[in-house]
Amino acid sequence: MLLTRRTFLQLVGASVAATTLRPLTGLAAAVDADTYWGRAFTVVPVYATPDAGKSAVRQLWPDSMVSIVDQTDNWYRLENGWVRRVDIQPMLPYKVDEYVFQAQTPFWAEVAAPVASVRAYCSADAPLITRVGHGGVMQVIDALPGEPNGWYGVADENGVLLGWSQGVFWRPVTVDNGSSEGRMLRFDRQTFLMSAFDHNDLILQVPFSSREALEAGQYQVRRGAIGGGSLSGYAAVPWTMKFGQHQAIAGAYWHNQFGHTVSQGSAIQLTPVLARWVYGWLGDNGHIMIE
Amino acid sequence: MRESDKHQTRFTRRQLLTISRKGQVRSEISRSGGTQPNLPYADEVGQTPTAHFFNPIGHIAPVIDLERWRLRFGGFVEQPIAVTVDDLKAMPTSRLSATVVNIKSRPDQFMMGHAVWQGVALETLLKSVQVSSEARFASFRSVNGYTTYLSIEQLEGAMLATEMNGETLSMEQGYPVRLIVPGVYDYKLPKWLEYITFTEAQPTGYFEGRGYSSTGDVQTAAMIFSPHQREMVNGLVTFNGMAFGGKRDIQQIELSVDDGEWMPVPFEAAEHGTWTRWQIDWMPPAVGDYLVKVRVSDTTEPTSVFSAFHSVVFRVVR
Repeated sequence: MLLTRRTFLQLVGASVAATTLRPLTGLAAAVDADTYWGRAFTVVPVYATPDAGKSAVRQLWPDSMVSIVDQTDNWYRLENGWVRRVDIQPMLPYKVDEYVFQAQTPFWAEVAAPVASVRAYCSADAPLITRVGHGGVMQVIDALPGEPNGWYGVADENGVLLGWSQGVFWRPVTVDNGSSEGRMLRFDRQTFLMSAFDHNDLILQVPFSSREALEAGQYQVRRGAIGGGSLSGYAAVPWTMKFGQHQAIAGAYWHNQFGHTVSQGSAIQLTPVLARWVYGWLGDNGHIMIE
Repeated sequence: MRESDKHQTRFTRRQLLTISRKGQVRSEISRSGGTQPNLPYADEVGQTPTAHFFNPIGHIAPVIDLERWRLRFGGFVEQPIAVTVDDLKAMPTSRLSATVVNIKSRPDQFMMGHAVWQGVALETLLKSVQVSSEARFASFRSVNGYTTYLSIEQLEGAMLATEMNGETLSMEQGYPVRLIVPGVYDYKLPKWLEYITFTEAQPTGYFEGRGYSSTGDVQTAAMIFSPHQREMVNGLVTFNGMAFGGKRDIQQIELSVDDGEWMPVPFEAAEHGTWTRWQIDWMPPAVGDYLVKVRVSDTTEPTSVFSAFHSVVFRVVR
């Protein structure tokens, strides 16, 4: 499979205008890779052919990483079998060798590993506070060096310490401060497609999921916290942008059912890498249209 | 490759045990596939070497005068008898592969072992003594005064063991005769046996009188042998261990890494009364400390009930 930025976007269900790849700077990290990875949400059956009616030939460990070599509308092909798309979360590259413990706090960090456990204190057998999937974002407010990775004290959106997590599972994130001028997002309630327009040029179209019936109209969005939010029992909800009365666009790391209604999470959900791009590209006070 | 699905190989029992044996000499950092517990809980054929078979504190072998020692059968029987060691040696023997577990066994004080026992089937002698139909219990008394009992129904498959792993029973393991019954805790398996008395009323026993279960049925449990607590490993991690349900069949064995979802572990069903060995590989995403837990369910209804889990923290290093 040709490894291009377009390919990664296809993995997350997006399509993009050929002439507009350059402006998608926030997605650069997603595509500079020689392999595409996915995370198994749960115990995932692997099939010899893309047919869930047949018996599985093996199972993937929950939260294991697999390389994705091809795809169809509903399936990803691995090197030794097929898995359903809904069972796998496409991942940004996880470059463990580049991990550097960051002692200076605070900073925002996303889960770079398939998952990160947050515990009551700095030990692998400490009581579990929560588990954050790939792409979840929290604020690191304290850092303790030590073998083998050091530990980060991670906090919610208000800076309140939730617990401790091994540093190697996280990587710092920064925010792109885009200009909202001439930029607009359109959410189609029928097709569950989000279209991004830059001065009336369609530059990106991606599937979104929705937890609730969206009311048609034009809204101005306000940036919320980069991460650390809590929704439907999920911590570290990333890239929240608020609109309307109490609605929000946010990243969702706990499913890959974009393009459909879902039962949990924010009103509009995007895969974390795309939510991050929207957060930076649209900027504060950007405009969205729901139709 | 980091694809963990490539490493979920299903092994035959022999392959599994052969692999386990390779790691008996440990280095400071274990390599993939060769991890092994500190103690050789099982050799290549799944037996616990006699020298490593547990012997609880307090099991001090008594001094036995073999000239005077007899195994006596009495109580509700038609023909009370007393047999000598030579009498037992002259009788037809059989082999019984059975796992023995101490009720106080725990991960940091592991008292569980699997051996091939050889001796006289208790049923053979019971035909000679002709147990009365009124008898409901068999009471056992050892040379050192230890007592316990089993119901008549529980005696099915019982053996008066005189050998263990192909050798004469050691004094520590109960020479000249130890009772072996698959699926009950070892406080029901008296060593240095001297009296078997059949009764109509429920007898008393040393531990039963202190509140221990009157049946002594083993509760289903699982344990991780490898990696062991605080072990350092690199590369592919091989989890292995055992599950034991006593008289019940193992239904499901599951592992969880870092409190994630439970992963079913493939295993081959073991014979009744025998521990089930299991093994599965896992590829860590990065160096770090990880928590792994194992739990098991048996065929007792409801099958959704799992045992308490056993957990181990290990470190993945470069």
